[in-house]
Amino acid sequence: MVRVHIEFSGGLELLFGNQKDHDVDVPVQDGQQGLTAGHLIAWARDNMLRERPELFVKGSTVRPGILVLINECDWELSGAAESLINDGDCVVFISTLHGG
Amino acid sequence: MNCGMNEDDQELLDAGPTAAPTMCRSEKPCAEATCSQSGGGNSSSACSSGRNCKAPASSCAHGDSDAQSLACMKCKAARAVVLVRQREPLCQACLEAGVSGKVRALKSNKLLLPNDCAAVAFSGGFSSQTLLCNLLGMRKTVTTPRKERGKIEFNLVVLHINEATAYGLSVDAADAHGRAVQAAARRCGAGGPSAAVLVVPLSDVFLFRDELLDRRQNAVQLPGDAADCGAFRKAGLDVAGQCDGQAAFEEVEAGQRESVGSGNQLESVEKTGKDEQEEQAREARLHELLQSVPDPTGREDLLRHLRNQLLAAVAAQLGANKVLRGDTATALAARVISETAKGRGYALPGEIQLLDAREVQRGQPAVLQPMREVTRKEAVFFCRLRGLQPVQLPYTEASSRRSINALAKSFVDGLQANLPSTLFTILRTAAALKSFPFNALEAVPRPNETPAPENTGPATESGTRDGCGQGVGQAGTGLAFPHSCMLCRAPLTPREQEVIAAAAALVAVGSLRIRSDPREENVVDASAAAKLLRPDGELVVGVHSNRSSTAACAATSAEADQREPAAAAPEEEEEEAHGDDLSAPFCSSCRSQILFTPEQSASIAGIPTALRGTRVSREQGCSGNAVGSKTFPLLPKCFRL
Repeated sequence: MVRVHIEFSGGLELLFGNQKDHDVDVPVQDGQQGLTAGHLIAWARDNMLRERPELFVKGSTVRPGILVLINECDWELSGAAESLINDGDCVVFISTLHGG
Repeated sequence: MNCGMNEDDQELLDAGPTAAPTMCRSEKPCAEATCSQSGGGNSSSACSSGRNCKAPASSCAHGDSDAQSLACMKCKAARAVVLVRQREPLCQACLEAGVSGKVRALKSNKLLLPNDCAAVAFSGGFSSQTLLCNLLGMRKTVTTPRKERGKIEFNLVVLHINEATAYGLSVDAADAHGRAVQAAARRCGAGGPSAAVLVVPLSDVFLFRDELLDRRQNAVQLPGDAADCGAFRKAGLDVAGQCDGQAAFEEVEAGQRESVGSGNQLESVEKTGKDEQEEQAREARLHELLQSVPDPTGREDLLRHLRNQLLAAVAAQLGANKVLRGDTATALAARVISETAKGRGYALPGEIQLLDAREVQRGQPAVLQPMREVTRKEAVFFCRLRGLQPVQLPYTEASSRRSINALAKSFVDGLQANLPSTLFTILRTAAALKSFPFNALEAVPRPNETPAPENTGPATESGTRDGCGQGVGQAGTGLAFPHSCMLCRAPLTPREQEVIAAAAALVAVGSLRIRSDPREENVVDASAAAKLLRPDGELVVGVHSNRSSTAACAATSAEADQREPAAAAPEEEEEEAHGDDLSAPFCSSCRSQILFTPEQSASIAGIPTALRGTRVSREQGCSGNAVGSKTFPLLPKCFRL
């Protein structure tokens, strides 16, 4: 089990019970070395999402237009959906679907 | 490929301009802890630990932390935190430098000059906050040290149009949202004598120009910043007078502090019952207006349109000659797609450029979009890394899901995820459309200057605020006829302009009624009008052509049209179902297809009943007219000249 702090921003919190911060324990998938971001997303969709999954995920990854930060760093720098998430990491999902 | 892309995308990327090696290009063992080889593209995909490991990051056992310690591509020193553009990793400092450099292009293009007064359209989102932070950084105030040259002295007012009620929120929730936006603006650094923050509800679009800010100054919601605004106006916009402004501000703030400190905001201001009633009436009218649009796209566009109108009107009232909007490249690219899909290609060039001066002739400020080269991702990271939280309207996206705008946005996002060059390809292509001469920098008047001679209107600037926004309606002072249609923003042909100008002149003259029924020759009226018009040969000709063109219009429209002078308010209005308001600045295609179609042909043609009818009457409010037919007292007064 990996302890992750998840934060939702930019309107995504509405899909997750209007709560911005979540501290969760995510089980590691069998056969995998560690928790990948892709798996975290799937787990969040299955266990945390209250409504409208199509606004959060598309296929196996987040919907285009949603930015993901792992420890305040762009997840694309660490392999996007293949990034490894360690214990105590902070993952932020920011939706850019609303105009600024 | 281990960046989360599947094989098809990998091929696409290979075919694109940025070739994508799967390894760090140097292919040397990385001796340093951070890989500082200039492998621009996808060096992130290789394990960038200090060990001689060429395995992709995902399956490498060296762990996540090593892979993240990638150096910034620009400074090559600090750790990269974000991947922008064509897969360029950047550190925070370089990201901020890049973004602010683009906003500073305003200065190098001479679009923002000393003693300008700029109104910043602030929505509370990521791009607005980024814009505001950068603008405040560009500003030279009394506290700026001497060695920081390159800063400009200009005044700023942060303007937020509160649309919360339009999305169904209660008035209290809307107020709370307004306050949250103010707090966000203050966190960026605004909120002082020369950077006031002002929140205006969208329903104010129905107020007449001179009433716009007087209401807000006495508003109960915003005691602190309403005072800012008042001091702002009193202090004037001259930077030299900043000391006075400061004194005035402190005085007012001290007064407000007492009342705010008492814990009850309502005590500080009196808001009369009548004000409150009128405000509710306006809110109801706004709601009805929006509900009358059946499709979500139209509703969104109308909201956007009203918001822009109000922004321009309030900015003009405050004496600002520029409005700065925070539209990012992402938003603009989506707009290119959606506007093209809606058939508004003709007006598109004006929408997406750095400067939009189409409304300057009408006394409205020019619109600048300094963030048009900044992607939304850059703006988000800019705010995030500075710890700025966005202000989000607490509504769901249910209503916007099916609109063309949302579709265009998700299309661009989806494409961009696979092809990072999408955004700029779209913008570059659209930029090939040339703007019209009236929409160029030369058309924007400087402060204390009247605009170019081609414009006959008294669009004065910060010096005399009275003239702002009143292009027409003053008999004898000349007319400022518009260059673009109010609705679709497409340029008007000279013939259309002629007709509109002539009709507007007749409105300005006074209590005249022009019947477009060709059988009725209103000779007296025409000659009286001709006398009062400027002795400009063109306009007199315009009157004649007006009659003939209105005769033509009457031939096409099923009912006789009647004109009502805008100036004569107490006159009782003829309750006519569908008047053809010739002085309203719409192009002929909008006029015939959307606005003034008679009921029968419209319903036959299936044209939506929204936006029909032009009767805007203060007395009527939202109750429509007495005649049984369905009119919509829809278009706010600001739609007229």
